[in-house]
This record gives sequence, structure tokens and C-alpha cells, in this order.
Amino acid sequence: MLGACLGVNPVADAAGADHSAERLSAGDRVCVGCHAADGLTRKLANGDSLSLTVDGAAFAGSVHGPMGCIGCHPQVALPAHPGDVPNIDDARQYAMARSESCRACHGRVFRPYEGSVHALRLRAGSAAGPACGDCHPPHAVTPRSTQEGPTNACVRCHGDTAAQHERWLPNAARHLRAVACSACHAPDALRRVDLRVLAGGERLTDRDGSVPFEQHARAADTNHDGLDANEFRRLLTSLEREGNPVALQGYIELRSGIEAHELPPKAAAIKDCVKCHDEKALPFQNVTVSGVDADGRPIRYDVHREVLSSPITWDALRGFYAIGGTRMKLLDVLLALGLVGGITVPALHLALRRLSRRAPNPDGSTR
Amino acid sequence: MTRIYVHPAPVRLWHWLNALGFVALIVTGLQIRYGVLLTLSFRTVVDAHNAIGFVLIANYFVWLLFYLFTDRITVYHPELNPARHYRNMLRQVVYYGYGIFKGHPNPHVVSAYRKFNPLQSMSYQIIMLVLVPLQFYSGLVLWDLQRFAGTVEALGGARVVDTIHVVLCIVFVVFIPVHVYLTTLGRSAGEHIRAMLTGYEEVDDGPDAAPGPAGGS
Ligand code: HEC
Ligand code: HEC
Ligand code: HEC
Ligand code: HEC
Ligand code: HEC
Ligand code: HEC
Ligand code: HEC
Ligand code: HEM
Repeated sequence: MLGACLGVNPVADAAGADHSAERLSAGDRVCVGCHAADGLTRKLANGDSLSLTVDGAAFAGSVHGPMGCIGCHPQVALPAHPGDVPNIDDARQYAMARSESCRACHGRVFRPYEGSVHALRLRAGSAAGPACGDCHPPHAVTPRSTQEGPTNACVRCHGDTAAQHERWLPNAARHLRAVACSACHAPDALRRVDLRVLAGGERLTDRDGSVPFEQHARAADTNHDGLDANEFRRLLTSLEREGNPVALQGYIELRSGIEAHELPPKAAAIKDCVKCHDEKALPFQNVTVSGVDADGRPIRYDVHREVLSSPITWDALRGFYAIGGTRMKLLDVLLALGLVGGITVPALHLALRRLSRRAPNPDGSTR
Repeated sequence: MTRIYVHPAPVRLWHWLNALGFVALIVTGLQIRYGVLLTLSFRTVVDAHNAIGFVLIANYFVWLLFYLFTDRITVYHPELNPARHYRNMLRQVVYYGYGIFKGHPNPHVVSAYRKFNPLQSMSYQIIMLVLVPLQFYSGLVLWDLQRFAGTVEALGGARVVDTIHVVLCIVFVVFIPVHVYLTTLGRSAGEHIRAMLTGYEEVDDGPDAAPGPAGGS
């Protein structure tokens, strides 16, 4: 390994990749040796050309790095390759066909995906719907790309989603920032509120122990049953002691990423505001607080739901407010007092006046 | 008995539209927050609440401009001596808390340019110049958090704006029944309310009842 770092490894150098490419197996380095070259393309039957360039370093750093190229390209075998590459009609069809290779390991994703409006359209002959590789960069899948990639992909194909939703959803842009697309477009899935800890505008990142988020959360959680309002504050205080001032961003998302593939036709999407804007609404029953690790993988910790409505955490959560869903209990009590007081005080005054009027005044008047 | 013109038409128009609007805003507001009173859809109630809000904001300017550009503004500053003003206010409080039960006369006598007792003048000014504008402004910001993102940020977040809005709502929830009750404390329960409808108040003849300068509506 040390030798490789000193540049003794000819394949990595030939690939022009940085040091992370060295994590590739010897076999994969052979593949990348040819496929890292810019401009390697193949002419397709329909006249287009397909770029065959693969970034070896990105692949090595991806979740699929350890399994190697063959994990998804079992049909490729050296040394027959590249002489035996079969005919490819068009890039779209090729991507669809290669998606099938994901099935071996991610069969659970295919069930919801195949019921999605995208798969329905694909089966009906429209080639424009996304295959796995359109939402997940096939050679660079990381926890970070899984978190951020899909939403960017949706917007790439669907354009100005805020404008489309503005037609029926007030504050649409704000909703799209606080609610995952799948939280509405996978209507049968379980949802939750994730309180994302931000430091300097970015999600708080634990770079291999730089901010041991989970350790802080465990330490704050004195009775080991998830963070209540006081413990939640303690967590924020102890994170702040580490350095950066922290803020929170509330986000409504699915509890399981697998269900994010349901995406039924738009008529089935959640349009009923009360699915969120109500205290008893599903997302508010399950609350987590999260940071991310160095790879962008969320580190979540359970939080009691009362944190959303407690005066103790009011200040920390001042940027997140879904009317009806996260209202503060203290104000409800004040309102009840106001309603009762506003009516009983005049009523008592009236009663006192009635009573005192019975006794005539010294001057004989009654008022 | 003399009939004097205490509530000019623009004030009466403003007042009843405002009263109706406030009750409607409170009902729709509570429905948005608690969703228990009616079976209307959330979206409909939000739209209704916003629409009524905008009508009342426009209506507010009827009141404001009327007082700014007519001499009726004097109803709000008849007493320039603060010491006397607070003494009069105290006297009014004592009247409501004690004298009224004893049958003492109301220390304030209405005239066209002194239609409010000091307590009324003070509370109406706080309500109309501070609380109502603040309520309208926080409502406007909540209506489009995106457009007013700068304000939201400056105030500290959506939850802060919303808390201001709700706390003020609670103040109005208390104010309205107390206000209505206080208006029934005339010679007869309906007297002041009738005056707010017709514009005219009947007052006992006396030295204090001298009408102010003529005209000015
Ligand atoms: C000697 C250079 C070279 C090596 C080594 C090489 N390839 Fe290729 N590969 C090519 C060329 C050239 C093409 C395009 C062939 C064509 O256009 O007919 C190709 C095409 C492909 C394709 C697209 C066509 C298809 O069959 O789906 C894939 C996938 C592929 N290679 C994967 C691999 C993998 C995996 C390895 C390592 C096991 C590898 N290659 C090793 C040169 C190479
Ligand atoms: C996780 C599965 C997976 C792994 C592992 C994988 N590929 Fe791919 N590969 C795909 C998919 C899917 C496509 C189809 C392209 C698309 O969807 O955009 C593809 C396409 C290709 C192509 C065709 C050009 C293109 O980008 O469409 C080449 C060349 C290729 N892969 C080479 C490699 C090499 C070399 C490796 C190992 C370093 C590798 N692949 C590892 C899934 C994978
Ligand atoms: C040989 C098995 C295998 C194949 C084939 C495979 N994967 Fe994976 N995939 C894995 C493993 C293992 C993980 C890591 C699971 C983990 O870290 O929890 C993973 C994780 C993922 C993740 C989640 C990353 C994260 O941590 O958030 C995505 C997205 C993904 N794969 C997409 C694909 C796609 C798209 C294909 C087809 C192009 C594919 N995979 C093919 C084994 C496979
Ligand atoms: C329309 C975009 C889209 C397409 C197409 C898509 N995915 Fe996903 N995928 C997502 C989203 C969104 C998530 C959830 C990300 C999150 O957790 O926030 C996800 C998550 C995943 C995960 C991680 C699941 C987990 O346990 O958290 C895997 C694995 C995965 N996808 C595989 C696939 C495979 C295989 C395909 C092709 C059948 C596919 N995806 C097609 C959008 C897509
Ligand atoms: C590769 C491009 C592509 C990507 C990426 C993509 N879509 Fe689509 N989507 C389509 C196409 C094409 C259709 C079919 C449109 C049609 O038939 O009118 C569609 C349809 C839809 C529909 C149904 C609209 C209807 O008329 O019923 C929804 C909802 C949708 N997509 C949501 C999403 C979401 C959410 C994401 C991201 C997680 C996403 N899409 C990512 C291309 C894409
Ligand atoms: C608050 C819930 C909600 C969220 C969040 C949401 N959507 Fe939608 N979306 C809907 C509903 C409901 C419809 C159907 C509207 C209708 O009846 O026309 C829809 C329609 C669509 C359509 C079809 C538009 C059209 O006019 O045909 C697309 C595409 C779409 N959404 C994509 C997305 C994407 C991408 C995201 C995330 C960036 C997203 N949605 C977030 C609820 C939501
Ligand atoms: C999937 C959940 C979800 C649905 C469905 C939803 N909302 Fe929201 N809404 C939210 C969240 C979360 C926020 C808070 C955003 C923030 O704080 O950044 C929000 C904020 C708002 C706001 C901003 C004002 C405030 O004080 O928070 C309004 C107004 C609003 N929603 C109205 C609606 C209406 C009307 C509908 C139905 C047409 C609707 N929402 C549907 C989740 C939802
Ligand atoms: C809902 C039932 C209401 C009733 C029955 C009612 C009744 C009255 C009456 C009778 C007056 C005349 C006061 C007097 O001469 O003593 C008055 C004045 C006034 N009311 Fe109301 N009111 C109501 C609601 C409201 C609301 C919601 C507000 C404001 C939030 C309000 C603000 C005022 C103000 C500021 C005045 C002084 C008017 C002026 O400037 O000339 N009222 N109201």
C-alpha cells in the first residue's frame, strides 16, 4: 500500500486516478486502465455515440467499490472483451437493460419501482422515464449521492417543480425545501420528521470522529429512551461546545428509502394538507435528530415527539413550523385561559351589577 | 337630551366590517390551528383566512386615513396633560371596578369630539396603532414566507412570526367580549351599539355635553 502511494503502481498511474483508485482490486484496475481514458466511445446502431469513460477513483470510493465491476457487468470477461461486445441499439435501452443487474442485490427496491408511474410509462413504451442509473450514478453511488442525487434528478427531468406545485400548494418552494418529494409521492409509506443539525449552513458532519454526533446524543440521553425536550437541548449545547453554533432544519421524509421508489401517478400523491398540518398527523409521531458521517450517511437519533411542541425547545426550532402540526402547547393553554377569561370576567361584572342594583342607592336611583 | 353625531359613516363602515372580519379571522384561524370546529378542507380555510385578512388590511386604511385627514382625530387626543389623562383613566377604572356597582355616574360624558373616555382612547390607540398593524403584518408574512424571507430571517424564523400572530390572536379573543360588554354599559344595553349603527348618540344636556366645532365628518 505504501509503495502504491509512492507511485510505484503503474496501473493507477496509467489510469490518471488519485490515490483512492488504488483501493480497486487488481482486476478492476485492468478495466479502469482502458475505461478511464477520456474520449473512449462506442458508435451505436442508431447513430449516437456512447461514452465508455468510467471514473475509477469515484467508483473506488462508492459503496459498490468492494464488489468490483463484475458485480454489475458479469457478461464482461477478459480477454475476449472488448472484442465480443454485443450490438447496442441505443443508449436508453442499454441503460434499462443494465438496470436489471441491480436486481440481484436490490430486489426489494424493484417491487415498489415496478409499480411506479415511471416504470408504467416505460412498459407502455415511453423511453423517457428514469432507470436506476438516472437517479443513482451507477459508478459513483455513495450515501451522499443517495441523499441528494435523486431530488436533483427529479428536477433535471421535471423542471420547475416549485411552479408546478404552486398551483395548489401555498408556499410551494418552502414546502419543497422542508418536505422530500417522496414524502408526498409515496403516499402509503411511513413518514417522519428529521431534525437536521446544521453547522455553518451545512449538515453537521462527523469526519471520522471530528464531531462524534452519536456519542453526544447518547451522553445527552440520560434515561436511554430517546431525547426529551431537556435532553435535546443538552445535545445542542454540547454540540455547540465543540465549536460551531448549530441550527436545525426540519425535514419530512420517509422512514425507509426503499418506499421512495413507489411514485404512483400524480393523482395518488398527497394533496390533503391535514396529512401534515394536524397535530395527530403521521410524520410528527416519529421524530429523529441527525448529523451525517464523512460519507454523507445520516446518523440518526430518536427524539420524543413533544420536542416539536415544547416551550423548552421553542427557540432551537424557531425556523421549523408546520401550522397545526408542531404547535406549542403553552399557547394552547393561554388561548383557553383567554377564551374563558374574556367571557367570565364580563359575566361576573354583569352578575355583580345585577346583584348590587337590587339595593337602591342612598339617593334612590338604581344605577 | 341631545342627539349628537359621534360616529361618522366611514368609522361605522370600518367598524362593522372590521368586527365581522375579526370574528371570522378568529374562527378560521382556530380552525387552521386546531381543525376541530368545521369539516371544511384545510386549503379552503387557509384561502378564506387570507382573503378576509386582505380585506381587513384595506379596511384598516379606511379608519386610518379617515382619522389622519379629518379633524375627528381629536377624539383620540382630547387630553394633552398626561397627569390629568392618567388621573382620568384611573377614575374610569375605579368607576368600572367600584362606582358602577354603587350607581355613581360615569365620570366621562360623551361629546362629538370627546366620544371616548380616557381608558377607551388609550386602549383603542394601542389596539389600532400597535396590535392590529402587527397582527396584519405577521399575517402578511405568514401568507408568503418565501416573499418575506428577509423579514422571517430578521425575526428569527417562521415559528417566531407565528407565535407573534397567535399571541395577538389571543389578545383579541380576550378583547372582543370585554369590548362588547363595555359597550353595553350605557343607559341601556343597546345604546352605544345603536349609536355605532346610526352614528348618533343621545346625551344628557349639561355643561360637559357642549358639542365641538361644527361639521367635520
Ligand atoms: C483493452 C481495453 C479494455 C479493457 C481492459 C476493458 N475494456 Fe471494456 N471496453 C473497451 C472497449 C474498446 C469497449 C467498446 C467496444 C466496442 O465499441 O465494440 C468496451 C466496452 C465496455 C462496456 C460496454 C459494452 C458492454 O458490454 O456492456 C462495458 C460495460 C465494459 N467495457 C466493461 C469493462 C469491464 C468491467 C472491464 C474489466 C473487467 C473492461 N471493460 C475492460 C475496452 C476495454
Ligand atoms: C453497481 C453496478 C455497477 C458496477 C459495480 C459497475 N457498473 Fe458499469 N454500468 C452500470 C450501469 C447500470 C450501466 C448503464 C449506464 C447507465 O445506466 O447510465 C453501466 C455502464 C457501463 C459502461 C458503459 C458506458 C456507460 O457509462 O454507460 C461501462 C464502460 C462500464 N459500465 C464500465 C464499468 C467499469 C469499468 C466498472 C468497474 C470499475 C463498472 N462499470 C462497474 C452499473 C455498474
Ligand atoms: C452485488 C450486489 C449489488 C449490486 C448488483 C448492486 N448493488 Fe447497490 N449496494 C450493494 C451493497 C452491498 C450496498 C451497501 C449497503 C449498505 O452500505 O448498507 C449497496 C448500496 C446501494 C445504494 C445505497 C447507498 C447508500 O448507502 O445510501 C444504492 C442507491 C445502490 N446500492 C444502488 C444500486 C444500483 C442502482 C445498482 C444497479 C446499477 C446496484 N446498486 C447494484 C450491493 C449491490
Ligand atoms: C426516480 C428516482 C429513482 C429511481 C429511478 C431509482 N431510485 Fe433508488 N432511491 C431514490 C430515492 C429518492 C431514494 C431514497 C433516498 C433517501 O433515503 O432519502 C432511493 C434509495 C435507494 C436505495 C437505498 C435504500 C435504503 O435502504 O435506504 C437503493 C438501494 C436504491 N435506491 C436502489 C435503486 C435501484 C436498484 C433502482 C432501479 C430499480 C432505483 N433505486 C431507482 C430514487 C430513485
Ligand atoms: C429521467 C427523467 C426523470 C427523472 C429523473 C424523474 N422523472 Fe418523473 N417522470 C418522467 C417522465 C418521462 C414521466 C412521464 C410523464 C408523462 O407521462 O407525462 C414522469 C412522471 C412522473 C410523475 C407522474 C406525473 C403524472 O402525470 O402522473 C411523477 C409524480 C414524477 N414523475 C415524479 C418524479 C419524482 C418525485 C422524481 C425524483 C425522485 C422523478 N419523477 C424523477 C421522467 C423523470
Ligand atoms: C406536499 C406534497 C408534495 C411534495 C412535497 C411534492 N409533490 Fe409533486 N405533486 C404533489 C401532488 C398532490 C401532485 C398532483 C397535483 C395535481 O393534482 O395536479 C403533484 C404533482 C407532481 C408532478 C406532476 C406535475 C404535473 O403538473 O403534471 C410532478 C412531476 C411532481 N409532482 C414532482 C415532484 C417533485 C420532483 C418533488 C420534489 C422536488 C415533489 N413533486 C414534491 C404533491 C407533492
Ligand atoms: C407532506 C406534509 C405537508 C403537506 C401535505 C402540506 N404541508 Fe404545508 N407545510 C409543511 C411543512 C413541514 C411546513 C413548514 C415549512 C418550514 O417550516 O420550512 C409547511 C408550511 C406551510 C405553510 C407556511 C406557514 C407556516 O406557518 O408554516 C403554509 C401556509 C402551509 N404549509 C399550507 C399548506 C396547505 C394549504 C397545504 C395543502 C394544500 C399543505 N400546506 C400541505 C408540510 C406539509
Ligand atoms: C364583534 C363585536 C363588536 C362589537 C359589538 C363592537 C361594538 C363597538 C361599539 C358599540 C363601539 C362604540 C364604542 C363606544 O361608543 O363606546 C365600538 C368602537 C370601537 N371598536 Fe368595536 N365592536 C366589536 C368588535 C371590535 C373589534 C374586533 C375591534 C378591533 C380589533 C374593535 C375596535 C373598536 C375601536 C377601535 C372602536 C373605536 C372606533 C373609533 O375609532 O371611532 N371592535 N365598538
